[in-house]
Amino acid sequence: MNEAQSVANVAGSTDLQTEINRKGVADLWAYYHAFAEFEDQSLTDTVVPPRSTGSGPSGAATRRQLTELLESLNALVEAEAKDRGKHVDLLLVSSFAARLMNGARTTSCKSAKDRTSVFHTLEVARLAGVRGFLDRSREQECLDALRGPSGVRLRNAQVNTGKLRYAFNPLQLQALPKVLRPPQPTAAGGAS
Amino acid sequence: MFKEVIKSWLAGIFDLLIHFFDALLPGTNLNIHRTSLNKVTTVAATTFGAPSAHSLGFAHGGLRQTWRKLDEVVRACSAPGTSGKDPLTRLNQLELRFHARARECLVMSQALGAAVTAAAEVLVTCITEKRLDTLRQMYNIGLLLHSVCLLSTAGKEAAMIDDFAGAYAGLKLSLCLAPVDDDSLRGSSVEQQRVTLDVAEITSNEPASQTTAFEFAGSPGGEGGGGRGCAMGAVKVVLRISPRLAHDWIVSTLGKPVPEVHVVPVLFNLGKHACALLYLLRCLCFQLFIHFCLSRFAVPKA
Repeated sequence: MNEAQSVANVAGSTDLQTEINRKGVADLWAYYHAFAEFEDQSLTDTVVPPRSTGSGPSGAATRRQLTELLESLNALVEAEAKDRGKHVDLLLVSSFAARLMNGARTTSCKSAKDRTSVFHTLEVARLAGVRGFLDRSREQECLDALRGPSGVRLRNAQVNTGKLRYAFNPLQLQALPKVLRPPQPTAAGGAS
Repeated sequence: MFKEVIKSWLAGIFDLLIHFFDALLPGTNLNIHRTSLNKVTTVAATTFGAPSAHSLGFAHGGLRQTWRKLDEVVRACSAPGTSGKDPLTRLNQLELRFHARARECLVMSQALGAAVTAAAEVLVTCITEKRLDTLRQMYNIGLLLHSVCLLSTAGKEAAMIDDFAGAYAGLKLSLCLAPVDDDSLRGSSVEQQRVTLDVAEITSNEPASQTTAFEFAGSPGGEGGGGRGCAMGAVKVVLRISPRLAHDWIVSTLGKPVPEVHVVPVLFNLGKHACALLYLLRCLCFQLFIHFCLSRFAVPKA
């Protein structure tokens, strides 16, 4: 096995990710169709339309939003398969779509303390922005607060490793998309 | 000879202990993270270490790769004109089957713990906030379990993704609510009491049965759910709901004696390519080091 093979292994290994994401999109579409059918059925069965009492958008608006999200998700998955970039939006869009369909949300990585923490805090901040609780200009401030010593995720890292630090080394930090980078003093140990 | 036997026994006992503790502690770093947005709404997500059989290693790849290998071996053995009865072939097949089952047990138990936790969180929120339409939706089309995985596609983590995907392909989970036995709380309103769910019973039926609310796209034909079937089969988890009034409210509202929610898992993955880059750099550095050592210390040929 030489260097070229190493490159080929690394370059070729994202097929698994693409396969999983394509199946994920197909599953989300299938659930969306069932969801839309159920809402139509509920409309014909009941006098009071579903979602009319909630604080969220109406049924029609939700479905329009969902269609847009799922279509952009299709495009993002294909873009990720093509250029192998770090399309964090792919995960965010699918998460928002799942939340709109009242789904349960889970996030995981190898140990659920570093990568999971930075992604989950990003999701919360973006969701707060989408729902009108947070101004986009204050997003970074919010992210730093959630990932910093006053947030619970750093405490989770401490419970697991004994250190009040995320395990990202400088190289990993530089390679991370900016929105996923934790505040500088909290990221200084080991490799995630 | 005696030493070898003792050594293999000790290794066996050590493996057994690792498997025992792996099965005993299903969720790794399993937490529910709730964030209140201006005290108006709460955003919740379940975070956990990806379900994976770390103790078995990744020599055969992940769970789906192991299933594929097993299927290939079984097919090759049952093909006409092959030595399917050969004891060595049968032993190999048995070994791979055992490995696949052990992997399934480890991976599925971790996935099950996380899935039940995440689903229960949504159910509790719906019941507490009396979101009738959402409850109806869950009982009719199932509860969507959306999972984001952040594992890299390089090295061992690729096999871990395969384990995760295999776990979700084989997961046929349904949740059932049962009233709490203690009736002492009867009389007070649902609003006055915190709704809680506790696992009361877990049952699994025969493999390869279909329990999903609908056939979702890409439903695996030969992996986990289809032809051969995952060893765990369809799992039904009974959750005891407290207070009893909450259960009575669900039954009276939905008009079903035993409400059952099917879980529909969906997985997305985005590896940090930094890890892939690091893996590549590590490979290159290692090979350069080997080249350097060989050129520096190799004995020149006469």
